[in-house]
Amino acid sequence: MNADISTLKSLLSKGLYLDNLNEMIEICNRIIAQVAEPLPVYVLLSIFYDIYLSWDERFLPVEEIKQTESLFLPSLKGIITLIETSDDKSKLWNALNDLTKAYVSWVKREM
Amino acid sequence: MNEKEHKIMDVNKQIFNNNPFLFESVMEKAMYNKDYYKYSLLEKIKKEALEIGTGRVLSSGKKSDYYIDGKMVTLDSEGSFLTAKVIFDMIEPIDFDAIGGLTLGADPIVAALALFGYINKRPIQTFIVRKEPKKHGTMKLIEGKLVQGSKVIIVDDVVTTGKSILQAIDVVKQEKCEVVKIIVLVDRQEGAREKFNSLGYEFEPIFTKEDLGITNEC
Repeated sequence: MNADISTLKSLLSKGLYLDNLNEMIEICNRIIAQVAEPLPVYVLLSIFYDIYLSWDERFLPVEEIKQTESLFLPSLKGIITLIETSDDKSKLWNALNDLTKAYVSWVKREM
Repeated sequence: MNEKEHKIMDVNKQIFNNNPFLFESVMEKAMYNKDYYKYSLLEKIKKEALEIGTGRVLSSGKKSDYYIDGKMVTLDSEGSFLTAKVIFDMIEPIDFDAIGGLTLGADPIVAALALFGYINKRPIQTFIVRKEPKKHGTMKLIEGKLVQGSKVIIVDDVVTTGKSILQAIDVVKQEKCEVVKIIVLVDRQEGAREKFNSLGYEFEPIFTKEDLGITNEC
């Protein structure tokens, strides 16, 4: 699992784009099957998947990608670090709530 | 076709527009001229599918100054016919059992080919490979009839690096199928040919980005 987490972090550092999202979805699927508490990874997976579906088959403006990245990347990176260290559950819970809020605002923007 | 022939074709098109009575007899002759359909398809792609704009990003994350929305042609009545006709002529000499590709690009192409094949008394078995970023694990990824061990042709509207097509190939290979050819409407010439060749696949784009008049990219 550790190798998958570090690959996920490395992919995330490259930003969000379709091929990258696809790879991160595959990795999340692998991690889910290995961890005792899969909920945080499932949230990540669902968000990657929804962004993928929204961007697929489109000629995306750089601006839209930047906006999405600034909305999601800080929370996503924070959550991955918390999953990796798994030391503070309440921090993880708060981070998941922040990510979900970001998702809700992204969905509103997409509509 | 060379530049001179393109110009002749342009003049012919203008004549058609101004003299509708000429259209039928000239069309009859053109029915036997494969280049006419290919040229018309190219013109349609240039006119309706090609988007020029800076600051856009492709699925690979790479920036691009142009985009080809193949569906603007393959989902159009005339475009659908032209695509089917041109591909039908290309595949006529090939020994194959089925044609398919990755959704969404391949969907209208294979549907047009299925209909065109039937009308021309050569029914074509088609299939679609779902583009599922593996969220749900092992689910059915092939729609349509694809018999195990079939010889298949893979089609798509636009190819960039070839990743989508290889995704479709992975799925059909799980069904023990043999890929006998890959055909695309437009090759953006960003490594797909080299990738396919290195894997031993025969690749034939109908057009390349150069045919569309695109020479430089950001």
